[in-house]
Order: sequence, then C-alpha cells, then structure tokens
Amino acid sequence: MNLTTKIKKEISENIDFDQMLPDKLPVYVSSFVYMFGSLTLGALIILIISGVIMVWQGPIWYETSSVGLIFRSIHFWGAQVFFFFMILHFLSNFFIAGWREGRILTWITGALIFVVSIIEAFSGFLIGGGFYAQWNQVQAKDVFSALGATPIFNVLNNIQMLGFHIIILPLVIVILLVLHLFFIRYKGVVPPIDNERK
Amino acid sequence: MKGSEKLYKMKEADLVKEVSIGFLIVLVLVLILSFIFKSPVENPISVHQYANKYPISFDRVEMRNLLGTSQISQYGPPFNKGAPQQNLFGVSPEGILGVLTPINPKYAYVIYPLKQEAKVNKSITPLLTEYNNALPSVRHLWENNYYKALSTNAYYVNGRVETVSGNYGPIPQMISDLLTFGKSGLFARTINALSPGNNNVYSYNFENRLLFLQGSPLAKIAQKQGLLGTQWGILKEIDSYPGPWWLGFYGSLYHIPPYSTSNSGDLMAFSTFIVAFLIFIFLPFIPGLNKIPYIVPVYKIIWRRYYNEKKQL
Repeated sequence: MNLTTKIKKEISENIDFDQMLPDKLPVYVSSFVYMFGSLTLGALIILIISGVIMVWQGPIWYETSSVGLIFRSIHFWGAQVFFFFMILHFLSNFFIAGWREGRILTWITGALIFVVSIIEAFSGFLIGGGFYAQWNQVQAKDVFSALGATPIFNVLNNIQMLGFHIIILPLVIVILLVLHLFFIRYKGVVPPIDNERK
Repeated sequence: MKGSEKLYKMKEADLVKEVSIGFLIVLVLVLILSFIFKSPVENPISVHQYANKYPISFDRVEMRNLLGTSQISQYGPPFNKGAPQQNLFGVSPEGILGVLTPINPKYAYVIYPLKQEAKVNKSITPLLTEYNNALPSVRHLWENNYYKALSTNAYYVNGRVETVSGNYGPIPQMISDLLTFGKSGLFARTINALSPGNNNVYSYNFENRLLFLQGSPLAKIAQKQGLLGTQWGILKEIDSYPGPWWLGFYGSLYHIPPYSTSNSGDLMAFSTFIVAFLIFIFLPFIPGLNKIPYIVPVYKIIWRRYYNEKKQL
C-alpha cells in the first residue's frame, strides 16, 4: 500500500479549501459567544510574541529594564486574559453541548489545551525570577515529589522549567490548537439544539 | 463537507476579519492593563541576604543541617533515604521511586562549603581535621550542646554569633566561618555547584540553593505576603495582583477535610484534580453531566435569534 497515495486520496476526498476557510457560515452563528474562541486565540498570539521577545533578551532584561518590564507586563496580563476568554469559551461550548453530532474530538482537544495551558502557566510562575517563583518552587516540590514526578518534571530545576515553558508545552499547545481548529472546520459549527432531537 | 452546516441557511462571514478583530480587542485590553497595573516584581531572596539579615537563624539552619534534623535532611524520597512523606491508600509513588535527586545536607551545606573555603582560608583545615578525627559520640555531643546554646542563648555582636561558653569542640568556629562565607555571597555559589546537572563551569540549576532557603527563610516572607497555603496562597500573587485563579478548584481542596488535615494532602488533592480533569475531558460521555446543557437553557439565549426566526416562519 502506498501511504502517500492513501493520505492524498483521503485529503482530496474529505477536505476542501472552502470547508477549511469558509466565507459563508450558517445563520445560527450570530452571537458574541462565538468571539470567545477568537479572543482566546488572540491572547495566545500575544503571549507567543511577547514570550519570544522576552526569551530573546533574557530574564535580567525583562526584570530590570523599562522596556523589558513592559513586555513582562504584557505577558502577565496576556495570560490572565487568555484564561479568562478560554474559560468563557469552554462555558459557552458546554452550554450549547458543543460535542454533539460527531464533534467529540473538538471538545477533547479543547479540554486538553486547557489542561496543558494550566501546566504552561504554572511553569511560567516558577521561572519569574523573583521571590514568588522561589516560593512556588519550594512549595510545589512537595506536590510533585509526592506524585513521583520529579524525574520528568523537577520544579526546582529552573533550566528544565524554562525548557518546558518556552518549547515543550507551547509546542504541545500549538499542535493541539491546530487539531482543534481543524476539527472545528472539518465538522462545522455545532447546530442549535433542536427540541425534537434532544 | 462532512459537517451539518449546509443543512442550514447560510450567510456571509469573514473568519479572517473576526480573528483579526479578536486579536486587536485583546491587544488593546492587554496593553491597557499592562500600562495601568504593570506586573508584580519582587526581588528573589538570596542566601547572602539571609545570612546578613538573620545571622543567628543562618547558624541554626546550618546546625540542623549538621545534626541531620533540618526539614530537607529528614525529607525522605526523592531527596534522601527515609520514610516517604505521603501515600494514597498505602501506595506512595515517591517511596516506590526512591531517591531520585539525592542531597545530603550535612555534606552539601556544611562540610563541602567548609572544604572549599579551606582552600583559601587555611585556618579551617585544622577545625575539619579535629571534627573528623573525633569519635561520633563526641561529635554528636558537641553538635547537640552548641545547637542548644544557639537556640536558647545566642546574640550577634561584632559580626559574630556568640553564645555561653561550653563543650562545643571546633563547631562554633566552623559555623562562624560558614556565616562569614554566607555573608560574602560565596556560600550560595559553592553549594549550588553540587546541584544536579551543574559542573564547575556551567550552572543552570539552582536546586541546592533553593533547598537551603526552603522552610523558615522563605516562609517568613511568604507569610507577610499572605502566600502560605493556609492563606489561600496557591491562588494569589504578591501585592494583590491576580494569581492563578483558574486553579480555584485545586486550591480550595486544601481548605476542606480530609485534604486539609491529612499528611498526604498534596497527593490527595492532586489525585482529585486529575480525576476532575478526566471528568472534564470525557464530560460528553458522562451520563447526567452531558444532559446539563439541555436542562439549563443557556442555549436558548445564545441562539435566540435563530429560534425567533424559526418561530416566525
């Protein structure tokens, strides 16, 4: 079996450009709640851009210089806004039962993004470079030691936490996000709950 | 098209514009918050600062490390041998995995820094020789006597910690030399060289330095900032900035029994957290929970225009 041919055939038969990036949507897509996903995505983009600039210049820069502190603040508030809209996005999709009619993978990838984002934000708190980071590191070591997680996630090890925060976890989030967006467009926006069908 | 979208009437939409507007709204919001409120900045606590500010406490910490009674000395896995601290239904993951990031505080925080200091201060070598040549029972007597004196009657004068005279052997001078080393800032660099993954040239890991400060040095400041676990510290930031409020469920577990009363509270709380996440991820399959959206009619508000139009037809 030629895997390349099979994948090509699957893609050409099941996915088209118009479906992935439509310029027409069903009439029921008319509420501000549909913006929550875009707003969460917007916050993620801000986090990535500010994060890249911060890691490029280094911790001393963003802890002490006036410009660095601005980017640090943008990153800090970006995370707050990201979680705010992500939770609104989750709540609105829960109350419209967004997993219906074959959209289970959209829900699961979204839920996984939430879980990984919590670990991502947590690893960020551990590398802030101040007292708060030190305190969280020594407190969290009790939890991760009790779990036996130290060999893979040693919260006392700054370089490991930095690696998790700037490479490993963002990569996981972006991969999950691509899948999440793909599933959204593959199955389309979930239709309204129909009284006859519930 | 696999989805059911095309079963419905369609209307013009511009996803690119929507995402762009979303980005701009968030950007403006974040910039406003950043420029008005800034972000929490608090300098880290250094061993150097601690030794200068609390010399008697520094000496007591060092004596507990020498005696093997400090918090980290008696921690058990993954740092050293001993009984694991937490278990769930008799199963202790840390106990099963054993010592993974070993630290011997007596060596790492007392003997090793003294040996390093002795390279430039030759007066330390005879102290270490006297200490090493003494019988274990004698060493123990000196250590206990001096720790008792430090705990009950110690004062700081002319840059030295003084106590009543007694049978302490070379211990007071050893600890005094460590305090001098600590106050100079060189102690922290020395103990950090032994952090896992570091060598004489590169230091990326500050684990041993952090473990030296864990316990009372950091807890005193945390208490002032309201960051202790008993003060809902898990959900807070310094100076009243918003903390990780999204951990509200996890943080609140620590305030209710049995989580708040058990010695295995961390393991219990985290296990509950994992179960809660599994419920969250697989919520669409859980009978009862997956019916809530139909019972609570929020969907009627979200799709009110669609339902109204349908009714009019």
